[in-house]
Amino acid sequence: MEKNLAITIDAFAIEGNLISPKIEMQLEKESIFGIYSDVAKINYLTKQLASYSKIHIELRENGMYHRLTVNEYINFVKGLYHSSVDNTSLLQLLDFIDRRNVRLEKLTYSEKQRLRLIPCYINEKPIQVIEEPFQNLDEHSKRTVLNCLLSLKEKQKTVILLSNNMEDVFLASDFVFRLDSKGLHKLDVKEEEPLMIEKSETGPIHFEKIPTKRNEKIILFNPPEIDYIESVEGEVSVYVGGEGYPCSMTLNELEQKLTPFGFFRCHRSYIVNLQKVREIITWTRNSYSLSLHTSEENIVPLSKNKLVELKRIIGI
Amino acid sequence: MNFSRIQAIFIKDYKEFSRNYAVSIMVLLPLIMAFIYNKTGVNNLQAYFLPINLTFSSVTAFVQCCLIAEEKERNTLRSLMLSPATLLDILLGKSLLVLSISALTVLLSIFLVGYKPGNWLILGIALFLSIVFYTGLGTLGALFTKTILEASVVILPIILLFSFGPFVTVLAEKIPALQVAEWLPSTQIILLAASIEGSYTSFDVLIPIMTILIWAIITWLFTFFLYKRRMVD
Repeated sequence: MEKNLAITIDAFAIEGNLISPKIEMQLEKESIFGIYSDVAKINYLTKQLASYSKIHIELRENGMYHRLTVNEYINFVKGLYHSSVDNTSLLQLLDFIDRRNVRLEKLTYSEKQRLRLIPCYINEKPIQVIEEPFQNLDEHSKRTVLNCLLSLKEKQKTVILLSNNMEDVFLASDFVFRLDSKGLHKLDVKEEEPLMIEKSETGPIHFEKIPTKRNEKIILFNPPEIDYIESVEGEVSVYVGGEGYPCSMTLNELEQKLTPFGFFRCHRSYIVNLQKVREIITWTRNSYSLSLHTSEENIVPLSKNKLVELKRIIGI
Repeated sequence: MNFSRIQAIFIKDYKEFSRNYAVSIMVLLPLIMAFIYNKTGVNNLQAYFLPINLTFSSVTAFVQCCLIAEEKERNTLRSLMLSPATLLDILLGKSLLVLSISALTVLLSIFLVGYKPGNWLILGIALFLSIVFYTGLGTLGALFTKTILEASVVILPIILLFSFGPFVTVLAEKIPALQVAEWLPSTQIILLAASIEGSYTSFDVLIPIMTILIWAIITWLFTFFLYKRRMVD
């Protein structure tokens, strides 16, 4: 079998609304992939993944045979998949050793969720997809599930976790991806702190955050978070997520500091984050606006003389 | 088709069935009836075969229907279909269990009601084919049910039509249209039983057996056709 396993899923749209973009994934053996996304995309993803013959899927809402005991259930799954896994070791791994003769309907919620790992452990397919492995589990069960995922990894399997909770994905995954309407983005989970300490010892301090003041508190914003900055009668406000935060710096100071981050002085009293600009609106020949795609629809004015410069930056 | 998978499904369904008293209690219904009939001293074939025909519909068809409906209700059929077990494995595992339960119940009913058939071999073949037919009927019924509750409603017309159908032939002299009831598998098995009591030709035996066989084949073909179509959906 080849070392890398590739998965391609086509884009999916309902009435022009994109539900899920086209996804291409390169998977590696013996690793756990986490995909973080919203419920609609996860639902679509599971449906598509089910058509791959190499993939075994455990859904969040899998049914259960209420009247079987844990041990009988393991025997049943073993029969289905022709497996000779040792019952005791599997019971130990999933911490059912004291509960082996309890009927499934009498198990607690966390224990029922743990049952889903039995088919994953027993079947022979190279890729295991598990939807919401940690959702609403107690601490003990989380640890048990984590242990089981690691032992799946030891068995040379590729595991894909799907969740709409970022924390759950980070808990177990070697590689974390975020799926949004633009595609699959890899998230870097490397620890970068030691590097930063080294830097601050050698050179002058580079402070890139923008300090703002609100209710006697000083809040620091990362430049990419900022939507736009407005100056009204000398008072500078930094807008983040639709809310304004007063800032003590002047627009000129801010412009100097923020230009390397892709900010643009689009008006005498406005600086805009170009990353967040969706549309250039032309009202008349001499009046323009920039529309931002933030949580709320924000419109920032654009001066006529700045338009030429903006066009140069954008490249049109 | 794979024997160990069929066996796994058989054992799983046996445990589920024996612990689900709402369904397994139905086995007692024909047995109690057979016992009461015996005590009240009936001795005609029509009465002997009522518990047997009741077993077919209220045990064979009903249990099969419930086993599949419960898988749907609990949402387990989906994961079963995603496993390497094929539709045939699943249906065979369940049918084998239903076959064993029904065979046992029918034999007990015959014993309890005090019926001593003239030819065990011929009757045995007819009983077996009947069980195959009613299992198919239960599978077909399960297509239209999603819960055990629905299954127990669906089974009522089957009990009425097939278990009590033979009584309609009595009225056939007055209403000729009811003559059709003669071709029900439950009527045919009584006709067969009647002919093997006295002297009989192979023709007398073959007609009922062939009729039941045709019923069974048509039901199963229809069931498989519908299941295949549902699978595509």
